[in-house]
Amino acid sequence: MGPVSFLNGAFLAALAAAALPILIHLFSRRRLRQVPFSHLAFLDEITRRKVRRMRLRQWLLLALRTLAVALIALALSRPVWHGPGAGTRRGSSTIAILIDDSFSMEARSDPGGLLPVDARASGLREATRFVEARARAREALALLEEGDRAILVFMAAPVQVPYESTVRDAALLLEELGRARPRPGRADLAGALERVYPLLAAAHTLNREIVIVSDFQQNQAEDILSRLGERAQGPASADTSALLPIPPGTRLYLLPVSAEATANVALVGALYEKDPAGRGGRLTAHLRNFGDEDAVGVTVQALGGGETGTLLGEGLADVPAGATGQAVITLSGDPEGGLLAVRASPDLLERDDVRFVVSGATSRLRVLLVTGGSAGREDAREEALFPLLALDPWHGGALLDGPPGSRAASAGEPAQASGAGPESRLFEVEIVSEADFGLRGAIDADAVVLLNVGRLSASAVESLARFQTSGGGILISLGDRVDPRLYDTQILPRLASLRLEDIETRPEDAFTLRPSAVGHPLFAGFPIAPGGALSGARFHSVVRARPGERTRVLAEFSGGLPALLEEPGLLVFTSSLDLRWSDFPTSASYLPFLHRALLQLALRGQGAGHEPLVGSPLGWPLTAEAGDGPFRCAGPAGLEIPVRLTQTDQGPWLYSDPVPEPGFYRLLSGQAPRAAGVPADSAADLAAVNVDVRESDLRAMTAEQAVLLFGQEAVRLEREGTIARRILETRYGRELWRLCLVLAFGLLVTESLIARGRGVA
Amino acid sequence: MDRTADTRKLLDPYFVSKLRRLDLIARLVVEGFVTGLHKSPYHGFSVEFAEHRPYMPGDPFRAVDWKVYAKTDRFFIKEFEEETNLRSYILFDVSSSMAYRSSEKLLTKLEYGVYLAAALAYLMIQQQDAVGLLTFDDAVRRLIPSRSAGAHLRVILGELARFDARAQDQASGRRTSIGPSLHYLADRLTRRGLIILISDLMDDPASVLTGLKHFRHRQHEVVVLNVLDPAEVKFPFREEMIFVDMETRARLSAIPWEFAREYRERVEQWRRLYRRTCAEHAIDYAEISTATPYDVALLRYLEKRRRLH
Repeated sequence: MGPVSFLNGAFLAALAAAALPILIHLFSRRRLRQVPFSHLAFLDEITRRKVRRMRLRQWLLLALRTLAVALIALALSRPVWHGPGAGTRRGSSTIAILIDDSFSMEARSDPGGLLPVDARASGLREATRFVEARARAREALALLEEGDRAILVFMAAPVQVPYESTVRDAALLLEELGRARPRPGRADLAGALERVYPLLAAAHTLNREIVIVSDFQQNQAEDILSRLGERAQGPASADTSALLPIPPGTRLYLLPVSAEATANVALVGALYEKDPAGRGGRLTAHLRNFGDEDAVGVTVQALGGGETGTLLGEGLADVPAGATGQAVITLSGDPEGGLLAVRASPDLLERDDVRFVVSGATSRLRVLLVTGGSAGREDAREEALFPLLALDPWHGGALLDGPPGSRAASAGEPAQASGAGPESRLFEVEIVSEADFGLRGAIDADAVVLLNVGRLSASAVESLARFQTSGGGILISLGDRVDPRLYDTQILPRLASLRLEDIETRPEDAFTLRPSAVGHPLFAGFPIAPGGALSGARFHSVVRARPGERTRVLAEFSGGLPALLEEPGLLVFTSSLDLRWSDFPTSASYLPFLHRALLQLALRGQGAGHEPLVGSPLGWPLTAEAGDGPFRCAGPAGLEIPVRLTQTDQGPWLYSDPVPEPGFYRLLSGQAPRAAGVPADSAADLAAVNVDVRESDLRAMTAEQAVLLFGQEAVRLEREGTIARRILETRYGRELWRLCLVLAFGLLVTESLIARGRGVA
Repeated sequence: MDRTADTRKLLDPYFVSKLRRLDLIARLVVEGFVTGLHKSPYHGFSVEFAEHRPYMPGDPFRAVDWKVYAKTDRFFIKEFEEETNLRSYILFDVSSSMAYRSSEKLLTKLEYGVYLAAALAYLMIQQQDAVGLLTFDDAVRRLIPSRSAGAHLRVILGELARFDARAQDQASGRRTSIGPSLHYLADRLTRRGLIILISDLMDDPASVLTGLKHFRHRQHEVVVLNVLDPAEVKFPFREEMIFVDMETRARLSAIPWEFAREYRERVEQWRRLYRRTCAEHAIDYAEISTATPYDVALLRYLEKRRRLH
C-alpha cells in the first residue's frame, strides 16, 4: 500500500474521540454504584457462570464502539490512498500523450472484429492496433479538468508534435487524434520523449504525467538498450531503475494495446542483378518470418516500374518460423525506369509486404573490419589489406595500392569496374584494431568482419551479440592469432552454437575449398562444376570446427572439414582471409566470395539497412553535372521534399528532409530534370526508400525490459476502461471515506445486535 | 433513644382499634382448652400452682413467691396452670439481610417485621393469649417467654423497639441461621402452641424447612410470614453496579440485565419450594411484600385465616 494522505487533515484530531468509549468505560467503572443487597446467594450462582461471558462481551462492545468512532473520525479527515509512484499533491496537471503511430500499429489486432464507429468514420476499415491506441488516448485526454494542459506526440519517425506548446483545450487534440493515421516510419520512443521533456519542464502545473500508448515492441527495447548501454544518458532520472530518463516528479503511465497477434512475414531485402548478357536479370527477395509458425508458399512478385507496374516475375518462398527465406525470381524483362517493386503475399501487416528497388543503384554497405592485435591505425589497415582491396579499394578517398602482384591477382570485379569512382562503391569500410574495437559502444554498421582476432573484451563480445540480435551480420575469419579454446569459452557462446577445436596444418598436402550447399545464394554466380572446387586457392592451415544445432555448413575443405559455417547473422570461415594460412586472397574467387558473404549477411534485414529508410534523409553528392539548383526531391504521389546543400568531409552533399513515405525518390534540379547529357532516369538521382523492417517484429517487450526502460515506478494500465479510474486514483488517490463510513455503520449495527442480546431487565 | 415514644409509635391507635375486631383462631387444640369454656380474660393467674421460675423484668410483683425469697434471698415467680386459649411465640429474624430496603420510600424488612411482630403480640395479649418473642440472627439473641399479662406486651414491644432503633446498625455482618434457632425453641417448648416465624428466609431452605417440620412434629401450629422487599423478587436493576451482601459484606460487580431473567426464575423456584413444602406439612406460609402497608398485609392475612378456619 502506497502513501496515504488526508484531504481534511485537521479532522484527524477527531480521532481523539475514539478514546471516548474507553474513557466512559473507565469512568463508569470507577463510579460504579455500590448497592447493598440482602443476600447474594442467588447472584453468586448465576454470575459465576456468566461473568466470563459478560466480560468478553463488554470488551467486544468497547472495541466495536471505539473502532466505530475512530472510523467516523477518519472518514471526516477524508483519507486518500495512492497507488505506486503517485504524488500526494492536488492541483492542475499537464499530461503528455505519446501515441505510437508507427506502421506496426497497422497490424490487425482483431481480424474480422467489430470496428468502433469513430474508426469507420475516419476511414479505417479494420480493427488495428492503432484504432485501439486511439481509443485509449482519448480516454486519457478525457481526464483533463479545469486548469489542466495536454501535449500530443506522434511517435513514428519523424516524431510529430501538432502543437509545440501545451494545450488547454482537449478538443483540439481530439481533433488531431481523429485525423491521425499510422505512418510508415518506425517508432522513435526516445525521440518522442526528448520532444516532451522541455514542454513538461516548462509546464507550471503541480502534476506532470506522461502517457505512452503503444504496442511496446520488443525490438524497440532492444534498440534502446543497445544504444543507451548500461546506464541512462541525458537528464538524471527520478527513477534510478529506469534507463530512459524520466524527469523528476513526472508520473509515467504505459498503455499497451493488444499485441497477441504477432504472425508476420516481411520483405526484408531485395537484390536485383541485371543480366549483363541481355534483358532481365535476377531478383533475390529476402523474407523473414517473425511468427511462431512456418510460412509455406509465400508468393513474391517483381513489378517493373513500381507497385502498379508490369509483372516481370513471380516466385515462392518457404520461410520457417523465426528464420529467413529467399525467393529467387528470374525477370522476364528490364524494369521500367530501373524501378522495381517487390510484393509479397499480404498478411497481418501489409506495409512490410512491399519493397522498392532501384536497379543499378548501389547503396553502400557499411562494413567494420576488426583486425587482430593491438596495432595502431596504420598497422590495422595493413592487416586488413586484402579484404580492404576486395571490398573498398577507394577507402580513404583514393584508390588503394595493393601489395605487388595483388592488383593483377584481383579478378572478377576490379575496384574500378563500376566505372564511377568512390561514389559507386558498394561497401564502405572502416578498419579498427581489436583493442580499439573493445572501446567502442554500439556498432553502427551493416556487417562486422573479424580478421584473425585473438581476443575480445567482454563488453566487445556483448556489443557483437547485441549487434547480431538487432539484425547485423558478422563474418569471422580465423588465423594464427586465434585460440580455439578462448573462442569457445568467451566469444562463440554469445554468438553461435558451433565450437572450434584444434588447428590442423598440412604444409605439404594443402586443403582445397568446395561448396557443400551449392544452391545457397552465397554461391550464386560462381562457376562451380559438380563436385568441383569453389576456388583454386590452397589452404595449409585450418581450424577444425564442430557444427552446433543451428549451424549449416556451406563449404568444406578437403577431408570434410567445415570451411564456411552459417548461423543466423553469422558466417565463420575456418581459415584466414590473408596470406598467412593460404593463397586465397590471390584467388579469383576471393573478391566475389567476400562480396557475396557480406551481402548475404547485410541483406538479413532488421537494422542492417543498407538502403534509405522512411524517416531518414536522402543524400546525394553534388557534382558538377548537377547544375546550380534549386534542388528538390520528388517522391511518390507528387510528394516534394526540401533539399539543402551541406558541406561534408567528402565535399558538398545535398540532403533532403526526412522522407515520410516509402517509394521512389528522385533528385531534381531547377524546374526540370538534370542538365542535358545526364539521363533523367539516371540511377544516380534515384533512391528507393523502404520501411524499417525492424518494425515488422510485432512481439511486445517483456515485463523485465519494460522495467529496465521505464523503471519500477511506471504504472502499466492493461485493462480497458480502467485508465480514468487508475490515473485519477494515482493522481489524486482513492478516497476511503465512504469505506470508513460503511465499516463504521457495520460496526455500530453489530454493536447494537450484541448489546441487545442482554435482554430486558 | 426514647423507647416509650418508639413503643407508642408501634401501636397506632387506628390500627389498634382494627386489631380489636379480630380474633386469632387457633386451629389446633391448645392444651387445657375446654370446649365452650373461655376463661375470663382478666383472670391471668389461676388456681393451680405449676412451678417456680426465676423472676424476669416485667413480671408482676404480686406473682413473686415471698416465701421463697425469704428462704433464698432470690426472687422467684409462681407459675400457675393458666387456662389460656393459646400460647404463641413470635420468632423474629434480626439478621443483617432484614435491614435491606430497595427504596427510601419503603421500610426495611426489619422495620416491617417489627411492626408485624408488635401487632401480632398486641393481638395475642388482647385475646388474653400468651405470646413470647425469640429474636435470632446467626444464633438466638433473646428469648422472652410466652405470657399473657398485659404488662408483658410492654416487654415484648420494648424488645422490638430496640431493633427498630438499631436498624441502621443492623448492617453489620450478622448472618442468618434460621434452622438452629427453630430447633432451639422447638426443643424447649413443652406445650403445643402457635409459632409465628417472621423472616426473609434468606438461608438454606432445607435447614429452614427442617426446623419448621420440627415444630410440626411437636404438634405446634406454624405460621411463616416471609417478608420480602419487592426488589428481591422483581430485580429491577439495570445499570452495572457493585452489589454488597449485607450479611457477608461480599461484593459482586455485575451487569443486572445480563441475568435478571434468570434471577427472577430462581427466586420464583425458591418461593415455590417454600409454598409447596409448607403446604405439605400444614404450615401456613404467607409472603408479605414491604411495598404493601404492614397493616393491610396483616389484616389481609388474618382475614384469610379467619375464613379458612
